Amino acid sequence: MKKTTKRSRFFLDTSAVFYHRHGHSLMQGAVQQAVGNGLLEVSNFIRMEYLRGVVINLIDLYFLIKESDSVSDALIDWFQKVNQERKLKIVGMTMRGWLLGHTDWQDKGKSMRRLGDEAVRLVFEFDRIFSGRSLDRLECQLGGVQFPRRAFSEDMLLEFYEQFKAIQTSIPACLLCRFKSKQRNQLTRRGIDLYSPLQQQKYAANKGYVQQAQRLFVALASQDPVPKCRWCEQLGDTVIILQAPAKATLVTADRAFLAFGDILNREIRLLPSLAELKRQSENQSHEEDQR
Amino acid sequence: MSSIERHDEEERNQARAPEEEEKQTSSPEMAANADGGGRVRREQARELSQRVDQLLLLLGDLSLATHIGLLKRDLSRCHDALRDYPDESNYLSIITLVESALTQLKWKQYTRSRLQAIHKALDIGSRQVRVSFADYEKVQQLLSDANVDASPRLDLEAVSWNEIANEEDD
Repeated sequence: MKKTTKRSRFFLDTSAVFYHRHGHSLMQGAVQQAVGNGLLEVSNFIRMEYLRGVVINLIDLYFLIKESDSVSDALIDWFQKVNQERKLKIVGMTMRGWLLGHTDWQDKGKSMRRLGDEAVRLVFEFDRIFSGRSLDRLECQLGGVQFPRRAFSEDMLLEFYEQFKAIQTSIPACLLCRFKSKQRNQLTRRGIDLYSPLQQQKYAANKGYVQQAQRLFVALASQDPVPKCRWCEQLGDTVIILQAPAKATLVTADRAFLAFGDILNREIRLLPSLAELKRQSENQSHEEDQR
Repeated sequence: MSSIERHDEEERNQARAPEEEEKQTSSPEMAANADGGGRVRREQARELSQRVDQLLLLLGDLSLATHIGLLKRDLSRCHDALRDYPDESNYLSIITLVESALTQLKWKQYTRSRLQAIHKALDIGSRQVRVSFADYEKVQQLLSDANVDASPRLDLEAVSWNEIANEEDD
């Protein structure tokens, strides 16, 4: 009889996706070490976070360059904006380095074209690499926005942006409200306390978790009868952990998930922080210098 | 004829005939533009392919770095040459793809197989028929298969400690 071994399943959160897709070789290595030869999965919700965090910001940078005096001016303004959000810092540092690494980056037209092409490519590449998708119980509409498969034009960026923003600012046709009540019932049935002040006190050292728990408190108290994208923007980590397939290990660089994993009894594989990896990288260079 | 050239010749022969491509241009102005764009694109592609040929001969040599600089300059000049020909947009996308890949590579990371893949990618523009979106997609796959990574990647060495201060506390 043929013996089959089941491959472990790994669910990547947005930070892990970024490590995998845009990380330094040490970051890629950390993901590889965490997942081995397991099966990688993401959700439509993760795709939405990737589009919102990376692609939409690249489109913003594209038009900022177009409307600024110089690429440098645009980069300064853009970097200030993305730097304000903790999770976007890494996107800002990566894209800035990448753009400035090109010949003639000061040329507005050339930098815009490179950025435009890159924004479109990133979406296609994401879909090619992460073909394994877990069930999307939220049916996130934003996560399904696509670029047409045709020659690049500036209009493509505008149409994508417009479509994305139209969903974001309207009442999306998703199942957020159903997801919320279903999850609340399940947690109550299982006697799980996800966000109470007592839990916040227990995990007080985990700032990311405490912030999510506080936002969750507000969201659950809300009587809003319709879904809104801003809830998912604020509660991304909570949605991700509640939506992650039960049999998959969640891979992340975000420490907030450690508390969630503990509370929900879910296996979390934490990737090393940027600071930790930078130390490793410096040690490596130091050793090479000494040889 | 080298194996790369033989392969490219076969690909050109398999591609659609120029007459077929010309049927797609409706107005005389468009036809003129398309023809002009095609000629410019073919010239650029031939020059770029020659540049990569030079790099192949210099693998392991210190002067490779300077020649990489020349290739990057020529790729950048392609933007100027092709920007007025929207019909050649797919080839310009191939150019930006190769440029992106080159920004990730240090000179010691250039290998024969990587350069051959880059050569093949750029040489697509030297054929008669227009470069299609499907061609561009094929090039993405080709580079990916040859381990030529074109995705923007974080340069940890370039990140300052200031920029990641407090990161571990979050």
